[in-house]
Amino acid sequence: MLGGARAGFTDTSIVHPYIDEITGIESKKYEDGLVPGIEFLAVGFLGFAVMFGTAAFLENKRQS
Amino acid sequence: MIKRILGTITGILLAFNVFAGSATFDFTDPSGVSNLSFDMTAPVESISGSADGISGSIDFDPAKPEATNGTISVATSSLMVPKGKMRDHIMGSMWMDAKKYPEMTFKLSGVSGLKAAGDGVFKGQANGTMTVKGVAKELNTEVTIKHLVGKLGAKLPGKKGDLLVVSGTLIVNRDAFNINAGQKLDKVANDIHIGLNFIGYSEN
Repeated sequence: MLGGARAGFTDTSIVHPYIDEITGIESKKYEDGLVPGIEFLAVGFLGFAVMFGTAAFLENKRQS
Repeated sequence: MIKRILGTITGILLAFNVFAGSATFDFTDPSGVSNLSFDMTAPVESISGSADGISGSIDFDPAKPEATNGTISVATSSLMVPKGKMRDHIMGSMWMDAKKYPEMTFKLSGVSGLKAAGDGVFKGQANGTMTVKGVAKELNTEVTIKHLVGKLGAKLPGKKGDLLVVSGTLIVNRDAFNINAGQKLDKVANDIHIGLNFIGYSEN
């Protein structure tokens, strides 16, 4: 995904991968944090649809 | 003169670790670098995480690396995934049942087909038993053993000794270890790709 966007659901931890210099082992550190997922995108689209529908409905009502 | 020659020879032999023999490496890693990683691909969303609650010990002799043996345990409660809710499910009785089975163990009985792959580096087939959720299965997997002579001080300042790095990958089937066997196969993969990255500490 371009620009850091991600396809998964929301994460409640931020993962920091790193490599230990002495042993060469790859490890991960977890830190509390929110990484928004596709639910946020879905809610955004839903909000857009509701506002668009309401606006169209009100406009129709005004013209009639 | 003879004493001097003997002293020099002994010094050279010590430098090349000839007298080192077998040493016990403690795999409780105070630096928190040791880990078991896991990946499960799935159509909806892949699951990946790691565990850092590593403990246990391994006996290693650089002159007889094929006789490497010991047990390493991983605390089930240390399994981490980026999603809190998913982690709660993993700890539950259907999946890992962390309360009833607090540890996963790897009992290493030897390493076969060993080949030197550099200075102090050996590659071979680890033989032993893996126990998860009370189910024990034979374990045969490729591992790399890296003996870092005199590197203990780099990890634990002020201490003298060696480090032993054991790394490898294996694929296990969650059905085989009764991890929500036969369930949710459309959402969660049956194959679990496991990465082993363990560091052992031995003081001289």
